[in-house]
Amino acid sequence: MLRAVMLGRVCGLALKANINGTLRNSTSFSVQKWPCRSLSQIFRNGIIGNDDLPEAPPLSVEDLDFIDDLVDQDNNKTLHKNRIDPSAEINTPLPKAPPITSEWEDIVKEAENEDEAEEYEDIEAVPYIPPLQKTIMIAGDTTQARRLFLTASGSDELSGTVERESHLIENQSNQPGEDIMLDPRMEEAIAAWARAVVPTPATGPMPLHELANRSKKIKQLVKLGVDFSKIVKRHGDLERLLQLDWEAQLKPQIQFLVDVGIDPQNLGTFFTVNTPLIWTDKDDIQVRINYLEAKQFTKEEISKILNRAPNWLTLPTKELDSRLGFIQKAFQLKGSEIREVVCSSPKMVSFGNKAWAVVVDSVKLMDRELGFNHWERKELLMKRGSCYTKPDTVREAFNYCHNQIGLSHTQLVKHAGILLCRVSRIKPRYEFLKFLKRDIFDCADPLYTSPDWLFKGTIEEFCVQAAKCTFNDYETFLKYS
Amino acid sequence: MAVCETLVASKYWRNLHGLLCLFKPSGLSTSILSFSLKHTISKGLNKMKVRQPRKIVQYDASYGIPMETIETDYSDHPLIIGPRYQITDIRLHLPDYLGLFSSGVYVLGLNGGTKAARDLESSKPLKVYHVSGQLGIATDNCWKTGKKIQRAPFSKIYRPHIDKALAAMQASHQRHMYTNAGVDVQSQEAYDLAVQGLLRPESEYFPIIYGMRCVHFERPFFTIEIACTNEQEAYLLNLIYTVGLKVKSVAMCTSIKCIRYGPFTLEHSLLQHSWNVEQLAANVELCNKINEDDLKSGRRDNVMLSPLSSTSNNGIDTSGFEVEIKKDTTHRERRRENRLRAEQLEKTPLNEE
Repeated sequence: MLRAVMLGRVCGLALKANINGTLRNSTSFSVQKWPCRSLSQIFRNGIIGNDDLPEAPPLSVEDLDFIDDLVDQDNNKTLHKNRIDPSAEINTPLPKAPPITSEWEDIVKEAENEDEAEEYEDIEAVPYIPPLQKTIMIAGDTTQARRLFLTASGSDELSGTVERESHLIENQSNQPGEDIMLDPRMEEAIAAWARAVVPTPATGPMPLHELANRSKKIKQLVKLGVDFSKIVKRHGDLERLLQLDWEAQLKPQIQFLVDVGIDPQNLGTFFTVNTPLIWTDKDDIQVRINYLEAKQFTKEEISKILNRAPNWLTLPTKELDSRLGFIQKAFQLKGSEIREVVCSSPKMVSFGNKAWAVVVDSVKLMDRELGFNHWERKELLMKRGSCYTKPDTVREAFNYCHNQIGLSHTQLVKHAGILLCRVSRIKPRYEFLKFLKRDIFDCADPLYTSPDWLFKGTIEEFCVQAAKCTFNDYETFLKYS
Repeated sequence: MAVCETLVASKYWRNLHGLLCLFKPSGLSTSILSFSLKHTISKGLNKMKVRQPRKIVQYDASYGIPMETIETDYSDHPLIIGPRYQITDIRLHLPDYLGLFSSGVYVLGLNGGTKAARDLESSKPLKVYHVSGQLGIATDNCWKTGKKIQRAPFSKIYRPHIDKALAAMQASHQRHMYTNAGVDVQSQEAYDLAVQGLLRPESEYFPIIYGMRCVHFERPFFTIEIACTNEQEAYLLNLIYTVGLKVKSVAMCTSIKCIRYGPFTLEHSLLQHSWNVEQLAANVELCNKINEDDLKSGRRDNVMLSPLSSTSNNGIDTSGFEVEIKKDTTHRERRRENRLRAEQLEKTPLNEE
């Protein structure tokens, strides 16, 4: 119980979140708030109610060390193959906590009576104690202070509190031999000293690098390839993740995602990009996959979509349906065509709300500002869906290619990659071709060079195959012309 | 992410201290350049072989025999505390002689070379530019992309016209240098000064031109080669405009290219497509060597002139004439001395002519 209380202070959010959870359970039965959510979620929240953690599904023997199996499968490909250490699995004893005095126990007992905290099994319960502050600055007479310190701090007994300090001071002042005048300033200084030296219970959350060696959950996720340094930068994701239990929640969730068809190699990047995937309900995920099956996607297509878009499984089905409807209406697509689009660029469809608004805007941009007609817009979507996600680069590239080089709309659609390229990449190549009088992008001409050469391939390839000269010639042209 | 096992990041990091000579394309601002450079360096180094996380060794005596277990220290793992080489670890010193429009040799200090770059900048190295302009049109910002505000005929302008205008401007600048020092151009003292090396201004604010000539003329386009110090981009833009006015027409600038910065020329510069860690490291090595040679040659320990002193007694005043040969003075010291002198000058009342 002691450990639980300490933990409650360590991650103070955990308790609060739990209380909120119970409150919500009582209300959610009457009103259905999330229409897209499955029935079983509401059932669990409403009737079983007070259970804070969902029941763990029965685990087979094979499940126990399955993470290592997953990692071993792609051992050659993964980045972190050198960092996997089999000895990390052994539960070695943790460093001993500093001795707890009798006063501490009193405080803990009081705390026990006050709030009945549930235990959190996952994080090994070692209190985080900030490093001791050894020196403090004191304003005032230093000689007196030093004398006091020598008497008060009996080398190792640093557990004295403020009260004890005050006793000491009284005793000393009563002694006839020494006349120590105690200023109010001095008392303040001693109090500050006591606060600095005595280990205080940790307030605030533990820093991540301290937590990493103590939590088994974090170790396992790091082995999967989850980048915690990126998750920390987002607000609230890490706190939510730390509340979850490894055995009961995370492990079955990961197993489920692998069963659904996500490649275990991708899971690390998926969790870093889209952390809510870890705690989304299984039924919700199943519903989203069922939606795809209902729309007559084949199994191969589904696995392709899921492996390329990390946000797909957390997007509500209603939202997804409206998006697909928008694309179909705006481009007048058939059923088979929209399936192709989704397969070729699933990231575009599963963006967050802000990025999706950009996509909606750039459909207008293509039409009104850049002047592509209906067929060309459709062709761009089918070929390069990402043209609709980066309007700024497309605008700049279009301006240079159409107005400076003089490529027509149909040519741009044919070589759509040029629209996603930066001008700084296109410009020197084009100028070199122009200098050599090889800037002929007309198919009928015998000296035709493909516009693909303006952005494709390495520069050595470009020099040899398109410009037909050496790499040094290209460099001297750029420097001295 | 592919890991290059053969390349060791720390080895390259050791080579990334010193001067760097890049070819800055026009249209790329220095702030974006610095960001992209830092980004490429940190990304390239992180792809190489980096330090593995530390190990924790624990001894446990509870079994009777002390057991030793070794674990990886997750508090040192790159997935927990971020990649090994971060953008904030890289320091750059960017001199501001090239603006947004101009291109060419751009010498900057990387990591440990920031001090060397500052010293080089404060020694006022000679810069040579190729500035080209177009006659007949004037724009509001003197650059080709600006709004056109004026037009003038240019059919009767020939090369000698431009040469004449340039020669007059150059002569006035050179005369200005010597009067600045308080020396008559036709005297022995002026000769002694000239023998010691290039005369350089001490203040940072007055651009001085040492030589100008027309390199290329094909009406309406012309190119001027300018050797100068203390200039900014706006000054060069303005200069093309004034050349246009002197030949009784107007002109706008089409390109500015720095072809020389002290000892560094276009040969040493790296083009944008080859900005990666390996080539940058090779370039740093080359540039450091050039810089050392330049220091040894003594070209930099040059005559520094006092700012324009109050003139009296028919133009030339010998009392304000101070020639000092300074060696091994840092940028900060020079700046402080400059400031002190300027304060002194402000205090002393100007003599009326």
